[in-house]
Amino acid sequence: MSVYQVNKLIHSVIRDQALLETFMSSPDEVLKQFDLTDEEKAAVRALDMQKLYEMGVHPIMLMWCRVIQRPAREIPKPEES
Amino acid sequence: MGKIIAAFATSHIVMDSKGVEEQANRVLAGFREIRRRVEATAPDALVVIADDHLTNFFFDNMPTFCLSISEELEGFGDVGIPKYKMKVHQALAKAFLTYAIESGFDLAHSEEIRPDHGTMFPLHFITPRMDIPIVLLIQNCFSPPLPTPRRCYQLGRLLRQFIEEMRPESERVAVLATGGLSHWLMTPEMGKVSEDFDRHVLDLVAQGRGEELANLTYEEIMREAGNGGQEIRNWITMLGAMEGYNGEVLYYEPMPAWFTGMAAVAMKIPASV
Repeated sequence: MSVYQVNKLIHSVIRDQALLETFMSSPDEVLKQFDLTDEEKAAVRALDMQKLYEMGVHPIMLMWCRVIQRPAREIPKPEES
Repeated sequence: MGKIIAAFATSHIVMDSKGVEEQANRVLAGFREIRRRVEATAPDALVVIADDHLTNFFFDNMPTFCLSISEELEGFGDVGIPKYKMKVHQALAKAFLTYAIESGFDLAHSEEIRPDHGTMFPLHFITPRMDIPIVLLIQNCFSPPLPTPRRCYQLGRLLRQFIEEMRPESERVAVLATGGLSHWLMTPEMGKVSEDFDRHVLDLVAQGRGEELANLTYEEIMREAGNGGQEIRNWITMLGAMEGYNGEVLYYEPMPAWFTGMAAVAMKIPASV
C-alpha cells in the first residue's frame, strides 16, 4: 500500500508484453498482484492521470500510462542508403 | 592513444509531425546530418550517453551511473521503434569500467539492459544499420537525488582520459549524448518550452564554455528547464569529454507541440586531432 507499489505496477506492465495485455483486458488480474489501496486500484484501473498525479506517481510512469493508452504509432523511417 | 574523432548531443524524441511539419523536417534533417558525419568519420566505437525512462531501472535498485557490458544489446521496442539488435564494443566497455573504478569513479554495470527510446530514437536515425559497435552509459536523470552536473562533467573528462591514455593508437571513438532540452513531463507546466534556457545552453556549447553548465544545480534545472530538462546531464558528460572544443549548433526548434525544445549540436574537432 504505497505509491511505490503503483509505480512498480506500471514499471512491471511496460516491461512485459503479456502482463500489459492482461492489464489492458482484465486489469484486476494485475492489480491483485500488487499491494494497493482501493483508491489506488481505482485510479490505476481507470488510468486516471489527474488522480495518479495527485497521489505522487512518478511523472515518467504517468508518461507510460499515456503511452499504453494510445495505439502504437508509425515513426518516421531513417533514409535508405 | 585512441582518439575521440566526433561528438554530438541531440534531443531524443520524435512525435507527430502533423501541424508542425516544417519544424519536424528540421529535426529529421538534424538527425540526418549527425548520421552523415558519423558515417564520414567511420568510428570504431560509438559511446552513447543516455538516460533510462524507468524501463530497465526502478526505485528498488537505482544506479546513478551504469555502464552496459553485455556482449549484445537489443532495444526495448517502446514508442514504435523496432527492437533493434545492436553491435556492441564489449572490450571497450569492460576496460572503461575497470579504469573508472580504479580511478575512484564507482560505476555500476549491467549485462542486461534493453535501451528505450532515449537511446534508440537517435540510433534509429543515426545508425539504422546498427553496425557501429556501441558502448552504452546510462545516467540517472529521473530518480532524485541525481548525480550533480559537476560529477557528470568529471565522468566525461575521465572517458576522454581513458580513450587517450589506455586505448590503442589507431582507435577512433565517437560520442553521442541524448536528451533535453527544456521540458516539463506530465506536470501542470507540460507544453512549456524555455527558449531562454535552451539558447543559453546552446550558446555555451558553441563558445566552448560547457564547463559552466557543470555549475547548474538540480533546483536550477527544475525551475528553468523542467523535470525533463534534467537530461541535460547527458550533454554535460559529453561536454566534459570534449573540454577545450567549441560546438556547432545543428538546429534548434522550440516545439510546444512536442512538449520540448528540440536541438542537436556537433563538437568542432580539428582534423589534426
